[in-house]
Amino acid sequence: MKAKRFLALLMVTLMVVSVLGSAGAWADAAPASVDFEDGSMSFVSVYSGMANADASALEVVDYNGSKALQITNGSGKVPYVAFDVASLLGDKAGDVASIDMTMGVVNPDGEFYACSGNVMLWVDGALSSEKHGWSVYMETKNPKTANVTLDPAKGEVFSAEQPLMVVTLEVDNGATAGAANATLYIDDIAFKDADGNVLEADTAAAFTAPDGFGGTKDMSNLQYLGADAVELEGMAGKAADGWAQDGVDMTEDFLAALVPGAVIEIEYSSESGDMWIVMPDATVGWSRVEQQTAATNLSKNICQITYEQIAAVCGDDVASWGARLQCEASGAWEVYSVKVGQPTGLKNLAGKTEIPDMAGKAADAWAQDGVELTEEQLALLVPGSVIEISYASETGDMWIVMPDAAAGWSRVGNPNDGQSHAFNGSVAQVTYEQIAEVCGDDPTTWGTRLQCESSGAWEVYGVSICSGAFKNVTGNVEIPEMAGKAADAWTQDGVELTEEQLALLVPGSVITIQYASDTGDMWIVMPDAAAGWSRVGDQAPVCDGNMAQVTYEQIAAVCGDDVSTWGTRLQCEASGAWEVFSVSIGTAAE
Amino acid sequence: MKRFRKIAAVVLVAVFMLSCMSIGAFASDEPRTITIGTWWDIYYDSTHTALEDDPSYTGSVSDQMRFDVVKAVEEKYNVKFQYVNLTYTGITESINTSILAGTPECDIYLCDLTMGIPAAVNGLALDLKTVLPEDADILSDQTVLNYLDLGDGKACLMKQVLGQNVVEATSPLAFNKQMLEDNNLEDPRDLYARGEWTWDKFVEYCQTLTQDTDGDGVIDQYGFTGFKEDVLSNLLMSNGATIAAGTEEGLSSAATGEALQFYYDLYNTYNVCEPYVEQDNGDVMRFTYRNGNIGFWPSAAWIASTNADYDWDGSVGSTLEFDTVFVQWPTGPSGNQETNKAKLTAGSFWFIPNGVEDPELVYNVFEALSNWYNDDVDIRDDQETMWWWYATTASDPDLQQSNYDVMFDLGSREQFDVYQSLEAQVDGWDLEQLIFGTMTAAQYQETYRQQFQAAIDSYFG
Repeated sequence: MKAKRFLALLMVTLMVVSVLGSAGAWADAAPASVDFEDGSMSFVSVYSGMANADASALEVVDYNGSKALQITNGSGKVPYVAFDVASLLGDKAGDVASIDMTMGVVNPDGEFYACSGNVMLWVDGALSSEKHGWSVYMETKNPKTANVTLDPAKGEVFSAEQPLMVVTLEVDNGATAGAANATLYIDDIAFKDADGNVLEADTAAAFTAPDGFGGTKDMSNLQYLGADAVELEGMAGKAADGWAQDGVDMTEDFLAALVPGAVIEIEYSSESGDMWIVMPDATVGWSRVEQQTAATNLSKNICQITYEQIAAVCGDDVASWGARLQCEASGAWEVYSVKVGQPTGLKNLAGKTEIPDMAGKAADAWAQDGVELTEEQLALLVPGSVIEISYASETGDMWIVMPDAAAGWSRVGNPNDGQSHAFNGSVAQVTYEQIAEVCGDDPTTWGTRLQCESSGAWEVYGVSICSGAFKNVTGNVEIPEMAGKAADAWTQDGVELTEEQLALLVPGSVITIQYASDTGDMWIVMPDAAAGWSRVGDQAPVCDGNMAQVTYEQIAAVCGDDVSTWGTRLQCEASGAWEVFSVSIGTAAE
Repeated sequence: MKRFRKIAAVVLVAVFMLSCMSIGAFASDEPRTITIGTWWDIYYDSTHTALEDDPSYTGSVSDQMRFDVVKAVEEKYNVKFQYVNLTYTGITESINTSILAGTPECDIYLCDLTMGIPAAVNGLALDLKTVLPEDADILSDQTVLNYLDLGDGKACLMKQVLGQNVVEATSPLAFNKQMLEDNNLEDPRDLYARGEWTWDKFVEYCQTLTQDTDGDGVIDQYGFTGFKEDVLSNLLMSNGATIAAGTEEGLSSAATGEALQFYYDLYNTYNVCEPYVEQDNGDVMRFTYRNGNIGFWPSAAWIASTNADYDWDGSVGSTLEFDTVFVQWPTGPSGNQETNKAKLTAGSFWFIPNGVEDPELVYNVFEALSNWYNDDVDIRDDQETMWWWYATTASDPDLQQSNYDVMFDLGSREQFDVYQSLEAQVDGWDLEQLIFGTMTAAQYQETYRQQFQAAIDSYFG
């Protein structure tokens, strides 16, 4: 009888355990540093510094029986979600040896598609190339726990300087199959020390961006405005459906800055990627300006419209434009900022080689400091090259000095002396040609010392010699089949261009490639050119590790002036393993 | 109370029996679903209902046959099967976790060498020799499937026999037909056919071809040239040597030493090679044969097509005035023409994991699927599909056929050797040290032997 009671008790126990287990009541039993149950996600941010980065939306929602972080894809690109581990864990961040976290994926069509991505740390001021893969590859194992073991020998140690863990979703079989992009869920993040102990986190911590995290605002195809650009108050947060307008009356300050040469810059998101302005009260009548033709960056989240473009529609008299300025797009849109200012002339530069010893140089007003350039650095000073200085100064200006030039001790770009060069208070650019104008055409006579100087006390954060400037391009037409092409080093892949795409290759046109490659370079190959299999842009690639440009004229120099002899195949190639995110053909704005 | 207990007991027994039936009795009637893990989409399987489900469907006979074989296999073996795209990361994870746990999530896995070799070496991949009869295709004729020989006597990693799989990545020795004829040298293909194409004969030919043709006292025609990586791999295979074909390094072997010495001698003793361009990544030395002053060079279909040597698509006209002829590499002193390997293994493979139920059935299904062409090789490797491989290496149809045959012969004799993948882990490794004579063959072996062993240890886990 006792045995029967014991058996009955055992069965009841088993049933209870079974019910509890199946209901998921133990799902959150494993200790976690971050479980999102308090709804906080203040320690998370979307990283947009990569060319393929998606402007994903983050939210804490109910998922799989508890709260979780939801990452919703915004544009079909790759979500990069950054967690500020240093702020979460404080002085324990350096103890993290491994990370467990629950990953789940949901496709809007209700079907399951396998997804995978990577977990990376922020090392030496950038995303580490050391990647830890995660995957959810079977419907019966969704969600699933991802495990990451850090390798301190490869710099994978959290600290105040290396505070971030970045999670990506890179392979989405649903999107590849033509379905919508998957929504990613992350839950129960356990940061563990070497003994497997879960470290406690302060989930009220605020995300603190490290140096370089926000410094990669995509200014492709755009002009850099001065630091004194005027923000139009009340525009941030305005939103509307496609083909609907919303806006505010222009303030006096804004109108005062809206003068010939000025540029209106709009930071936005829109389902269609486009954005323009509407002047509803213009004397000439309700007016759209640059409808679907505004200069737009490759990320399609900043556009610019010039004073002259408005005047072309509304007339030369600003007083006749009406007080109200509205935004509009062909898809649902939201605006984050509208400002107006004068362009500084600063360019997007390619092929940057840093002069490491310049960082940290500082001096008083009208005092110089600098370094002796190496032979390798001097060899970079060729026609078209540009010296770029990242700095701060009391007076906002910055220029260079060549103290040992054969032409004599020489200032180059001193605005107080009538010399012109581009600067905006934090970045200054001096071209090879500007130096040649002062020091002569022969760079061997310029001397080997390079110094910085300002009219106020100054400090330099970095100086680079850049191989050239990217062109601003308008009217970009994407070649959609190129997205996702990838190959090993010195291997090509590409597409057959359509007649319409080939017709875009005219004098002045520019092929722009957004990419990643192990070696940072990228160029194109025309395999079927009558002149023979041809690399174009490989000798002096205009690229920066994220974007590369090849001009019509560069192709013509290799393949000849007759486009019909170039063949119809366009391929990409790099000296390291590479992947292309987009290729488009547009027209140089200059 | 007793009645209640009896009823409860009967119910429990009934439930238990039903439970057992669901595992056993019902299973025999239901078709088994065979899951094939991949990292790209593959067509067709039991989930597809129309030819158009394959986005690349072109209406060809082979498309129809690949679609039809699904139904035939389902009926013959009472199975359903499905290709499941797990993503590359997912398939790696599935291999490393589920097989190790004894419950493989897939019945067959697609793999590359990076995941396949550790799976085979560490016992995650099934040795087909332990479950298949000796007359199974993969263990006998190998007309549908062959396997990667890792030198351990096992057959774990399967590959489908396809014309393109065979000829791709082959690197035949090419020669300038007119130059050899002008110098009254017998066609090396004939020497090979007689078993007389050896390193000694090759040097003799190169010495004859290395000349000062314009009498200015400077050599301007060379017996041989080639990109360093292409040359070494072929010299190794032609001498029966390997460097990283298993868990023990082969760099220090006598056969490898002979290959390295021969490479050194070509440049520094016989002086029959075109001067080498330092630190070339292949862009230069792979293509100088086009100047018409080179007798022999390592070639490949893709090398010939890079500059449209022979106008394979008729769009630009032939760009060479001489004919390129492919021949097998000459045999080294430790090599054997009959047994020498001739193509470094590359590409993707398939394996059945250990722990899968009825692996013989799984193999039979996979073999039947792979034989969608019903043993008709002309359909499998139809001329339209393979045309590029013929037309790209020569203009003359006879030479096209001959060159293709050489590529097919080389591709039929694969050598597993991952040394090229490991070179990056060997600090200082640079074949130019041999080419420029800054290191002897023996020094080269001794300098890098231990580093290679460490890299191999890491690779094979």
